[in-house]
Amino acid sequence: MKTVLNRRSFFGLLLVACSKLYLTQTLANGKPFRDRFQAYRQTFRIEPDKEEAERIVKNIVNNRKLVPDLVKLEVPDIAEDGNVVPVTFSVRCSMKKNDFPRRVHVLGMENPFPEIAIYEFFQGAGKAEVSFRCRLRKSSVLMVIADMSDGRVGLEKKYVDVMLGACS
Amino acid sequence: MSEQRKLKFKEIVNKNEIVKVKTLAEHQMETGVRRNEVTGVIYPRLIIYKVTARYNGKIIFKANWFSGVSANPYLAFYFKAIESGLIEVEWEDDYSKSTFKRGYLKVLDEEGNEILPIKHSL
Repeated sequence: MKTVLNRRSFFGLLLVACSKLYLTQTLANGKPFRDRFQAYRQTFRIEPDKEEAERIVKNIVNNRKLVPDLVKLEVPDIAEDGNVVPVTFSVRCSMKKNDFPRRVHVLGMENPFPEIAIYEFFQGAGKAEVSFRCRLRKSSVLMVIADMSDGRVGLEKKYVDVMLGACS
Repeated sequence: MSEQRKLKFKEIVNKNEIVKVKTLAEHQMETGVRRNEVTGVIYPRLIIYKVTARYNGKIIFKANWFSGVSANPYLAFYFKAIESGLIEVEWEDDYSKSTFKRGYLKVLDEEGNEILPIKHSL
């Protein structure tokens, strides 16, 4: 018997190598890679992971220098119900030319899914201010990261004391 | 399951005024991690994952939501009034079921005339 690398075995090996690479990348230590595949429908229990939340923040900031006082965040210090935490943030910018936030990320650092929302703004939209209500599982840090269109990044965080956590 | 959508803003404004838009959607926003106490079966995720706001067909604001947004989500944002036109807000479900609500905005200049979106000469 000859062991020749014909076309069929070559493609077979390629498939095995690719799937191995894909699985090690996406299913690191048996867990789904949450910051990339979070958008998919999740129907299984996941425990909050602080390291993963920090990794998501690292991916967003991407080694850029943080600009101080860019984002203003208004959250109550003590939230009575974790299911409804009112959040208001505004970004200090003129909304003209290159001076507007392309994306604003809102993260709850101890939620099972740390990413809460991503808001996208467009040029000449008047004012970069949004208010909404989020869920927090327990007392944790709420973080807002503004990704400006000219490459600047602003980060603001605040510790929220939650009396009754959301059962999310 | 009621599916009420609300959209509220100041309807008659001056030019270059910043208008606040308040929206409210009635939705249970199931997170996908909650269990049935008796059977232990997890309720599948069902949330509104995308909200898009359009002003005369042009996108002015977009929100991508995950499971951390509260039930019956409230959302308020701002935009700058330039001309009269249609404000549309669209909510999109996990099943790609979209619902929308629209309203008409009237923009007046200094003399009190309406600025129409269509530029035409008589």
